[in-house]
Amino acid sequence: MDSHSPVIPSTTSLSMAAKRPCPSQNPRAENNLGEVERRLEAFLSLSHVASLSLDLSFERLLQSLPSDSDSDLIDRALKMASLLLDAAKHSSRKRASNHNSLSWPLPPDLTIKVFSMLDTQSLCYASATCLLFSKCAKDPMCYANLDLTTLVPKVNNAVVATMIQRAGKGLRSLKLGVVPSAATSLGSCPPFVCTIRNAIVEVPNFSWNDKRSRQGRESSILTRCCLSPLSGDGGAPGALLRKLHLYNIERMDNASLGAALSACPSLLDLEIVGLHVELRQTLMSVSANCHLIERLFFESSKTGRDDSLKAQTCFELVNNCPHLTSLSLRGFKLHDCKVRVLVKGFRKLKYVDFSTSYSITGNFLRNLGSCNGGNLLEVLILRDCMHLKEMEVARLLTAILAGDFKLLVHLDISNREGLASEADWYHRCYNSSIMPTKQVLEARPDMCLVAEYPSAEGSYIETFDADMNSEISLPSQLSSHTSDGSIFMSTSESSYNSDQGSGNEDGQDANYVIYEESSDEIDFLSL
Amino acid sequence: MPFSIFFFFFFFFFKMKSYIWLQTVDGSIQQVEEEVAMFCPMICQEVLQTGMGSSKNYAISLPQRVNPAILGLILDYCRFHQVPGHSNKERKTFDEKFIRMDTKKLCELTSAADSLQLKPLVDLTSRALARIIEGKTPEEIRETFHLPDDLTEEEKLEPLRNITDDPRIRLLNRLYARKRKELKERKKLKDVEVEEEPKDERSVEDLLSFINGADGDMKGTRTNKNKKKNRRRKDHAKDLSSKNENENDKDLNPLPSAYHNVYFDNALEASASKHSRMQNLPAISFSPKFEFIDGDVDDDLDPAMKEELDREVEDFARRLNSDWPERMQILSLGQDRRLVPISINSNGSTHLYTALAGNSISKVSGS
Repeated sequence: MDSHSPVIPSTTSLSMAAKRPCPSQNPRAENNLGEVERRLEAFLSLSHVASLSLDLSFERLLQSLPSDSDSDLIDRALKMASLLLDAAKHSSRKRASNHNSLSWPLPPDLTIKVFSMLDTQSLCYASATCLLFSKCAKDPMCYANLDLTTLVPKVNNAVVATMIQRAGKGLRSLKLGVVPSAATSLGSCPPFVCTIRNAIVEVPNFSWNDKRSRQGRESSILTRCCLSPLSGDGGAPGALLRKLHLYNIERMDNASLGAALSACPSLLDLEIVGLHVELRQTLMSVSANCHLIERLFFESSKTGRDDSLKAQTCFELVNNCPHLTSLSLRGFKLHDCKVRVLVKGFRKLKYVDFSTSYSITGNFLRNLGSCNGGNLLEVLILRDCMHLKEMEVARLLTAILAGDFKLLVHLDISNREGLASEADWYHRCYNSSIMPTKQVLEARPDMCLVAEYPSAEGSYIETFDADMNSEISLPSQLSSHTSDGSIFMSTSESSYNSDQGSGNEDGQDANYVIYEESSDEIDFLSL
Repeated sequence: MPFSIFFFFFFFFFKMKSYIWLQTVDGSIQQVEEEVAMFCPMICQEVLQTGMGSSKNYAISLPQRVNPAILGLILDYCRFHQVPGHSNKERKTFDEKFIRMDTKKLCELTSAADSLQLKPLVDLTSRALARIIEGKTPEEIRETFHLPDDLTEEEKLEPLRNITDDPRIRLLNRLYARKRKELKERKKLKDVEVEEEPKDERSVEDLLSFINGADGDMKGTRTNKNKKKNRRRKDHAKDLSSKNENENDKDLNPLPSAYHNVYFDNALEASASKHSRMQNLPAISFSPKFEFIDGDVDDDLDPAMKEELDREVEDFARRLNSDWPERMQILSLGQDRRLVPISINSNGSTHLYTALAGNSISKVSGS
C-alpha cells in the first residue's frame, strides 16, 4: 500500500488541472501550469520503467478505488491518454519535418525541377510522401506538362480542373483521355471502329448489376466541359499552352472543342484521336484561334465517313496558319482538289500523312514536286488510301525519277487492298507493270520507299526483313532532316507498328472484316 | 650556348599545362587542369573576374555543397565532356554509366553541380532522380530517400484523391470532406461540447452501415425509396466500377477497357429510354464532387479540430482496412462472372482484332 501512495495524488492533480481552463494572467494559474509541467515531467520519467510494470500499476490503481467512481476515473484516464497521444504525434511529426528539411540535400528549386520531370501520377505520389515534398509539389512548374491519359477512365473533370488550376499560367502541355494502348492508337485502324461494333453486340446482355456499376463509373468520365478550365481565370491557363493531345473523349463535341481551342492562342501541337468532332469544324477552330500551330494530327473516330471538309476551310487554314510543318489527316474523306490546296499552300510543310483516307486518287500530286509548295516535302504517307490510283502513283514515281520532290526521304504507298485501277476503283491492282518502283529505288538510294501489297505475289513485294532494315534506318535519316525530331520519331513508330500488323495474315483478315462492316463502299466491293 | 639552353627550357616550361587551384569547404586544396576546371561556369567566372586560382595560396573557394568526393566526380564528368572529339553516342554512354550511384550521392551531386552552374550535369542528374521517383508509392519514396513520415493522414490522402483508383482512399477522402463540413457548421452554431461527441460516433457507424448495406444491395434488393438506400447503392456501384478498373490494370489488356468504355455509354443510352429514374442519378453523383472541391478551399479549422478529425477518420480507416479483403473477395466474384464473356487470351493487338472479329461474327450468326 505504501508503494501506491505517491502515484495517487499526482494523477488526481493532473486530471483536475487539465479539466480547468487557466487564464494566463492569474499568478495562481501560473503556479498551477508550472506544477502541471513538473508532474508531467515526473510522469514521463516513468516510461523508463518497464511498460508492463506501468500497466499493472495503473490497473491496480483503478481497481483499488470505490466502484461508484470507477467509470468516471476511467473516462478521465482515456481522455488524458488521448490528449497525450495527440501531443506526442504532433511533436513526432514536427521532429520528422525538421529532420527532412535538414537531411534532404537538394534546395527547393532543384527539387521542383526534378518534380517537373515526373509524370502527373508520380507527382501526386511524391506529394504524399512528406511535408517538404508536398510543398515543392505545389509549385506551378511541376504541373507545366500534364499527362492525364489512362488505359481506363479514371480521371474526371474535377481532376483536370485541379491540375490546370495548379499549373496556372505555367501550363505548357496537356494530354487527356483514354488511350487503350500505344500500338492501337497509332495504328492504321482507329480503335473505336472495333469497340463500337462490339458494344452494339453486347447491349442485349445489359443487366441490373451493370447499371449499378455504370453509375459508379459516372464520376470517372470526362464530359464536354472537361477543358473549360483552360479559359477560366481570364484565360491565363490556356494562354501559353503549346501542346494539346486528346484521345477518345467521347462526350466532347464540336462546340466544346472549339471553345477549348479558342483559349489556346499559342498552340503548336494539336493531336486528336477518336473524338466525335467534325474535320471542318475543327479546322475552322484551329484556323480562327491557333495561328502559330506547327503540327496537326487528326484521326477520325469513324473511318471514311467524315466528308465535312470544304475548300473554303482549306484556304482559311492555309492563310491563317502559315507555320504548319506536319499535317496528318487520317480516316477522312479528302478530295484531291482540297488536299492540293493544303499541300500546295503551306510554305513550310515537311510531313504529310493521309493514311486511311477516302476519295484521294493521287491526282493532287501532279505537278506538285516542281513548285515551291510541295517540293519541301520530306515524308509522304498515303498508306491504305482506298481510292488511291495506280496510275497516279506511277505518275508520282515518274516525277521523282525526273528530279522532283528533291527533299523526300520517306514515301509510303502501301495498301492492304492494293491500288485502285484507272477505270473502277473497286478493281484492285496488286501487280503493277507501270510503276517504276525499281528505278526509283536505284535513282534515289537515300529515300525509303514503302510499297507493300500483301495480297499479291508479284515481284514488287518487299520482304518483311527489308522493311525492318528500312525502318531501322528511318529514324536517323529523319532526325538529321527535321528540327523537331520527336514528332517524326513518334510517327515512324506508327508506320513500324502498321508494318507489324500488315505482315500478319490473321491481322489482315480481321481488318478486312472490320472494313467490310464499317464502310458502304466496301459493301459495294463485296458484291 | 647556356643562354639558348635556358631559353629553350623556359619556353618548354611555359608551354606546359597550366593548372587551377581549387579549395573545398573542408580546407583541402587540389590542382586541376585549367581546361577541365574552366568547364564549370562558376569557376570560369571566378578566374576571369578575380584572377584567383593561379597558385596554392590563391586557390578558388568552392561552395559549401561541393565536398572533395563530389568534386572528384564532377571533374571526371568535365574531363570527359570538355574534349571536343566525342560523338553523341559516346557521350550518352558515358552519362548512363556516370549516373549509376546510390541515391544520396546522386542528390549531393545534383546540388553541387547546381552550385557550380554546370547545367548539363544538373539536367542529367535531375532526370535520373525523376526516374528513381517515378512509379513508386509514397511509402517507397520515403524508404528510398530515408524521409520519415511527417504528414497527417488527411494530408497524405489529399494528393492521391486526384489520381488513384483505390476505392478506400476515395471513400476516406469523402469522409474527410463530410466531417470538415460538419465541423464547420458546428463551429458556427457553437454547440456545447457534450453534444458533439454522440454525433461523431453515430456518423462513423452510419458510414459503416452504408458499406454493410451495400452487400445487401448486391444480393438483389431492388427497392430504393429513400436517400439512405440511394447512397448505399451509389457506394456499391462505385466499388464495382473500381474493381473493374483494378482488373483492367492487372491484366494490362487494353481492348476490354475501351470496350467497357463504349459499352457502358451505349448501355446508358439504351437504359435511358427505358428508365426515367436514371436521369436522377447523375444529379445525386454530382454532390460528392462538390464536397471534394469544397474540401480544397477549407482551411480555417484550428489545429485541435484538425487532429480530432484525423483521429476519428484514422479509426474508421482501421476498421475499413480490416473488413476490406473480405469485401473485395465478394466483389471480385461478381466481377469475374461478368468479365468472362469478353475475355480474350492472346498476345498482340492484331490477334485481339482477329479474336474479336471471330467472336462477334459467331455471336451475330448465333442470334
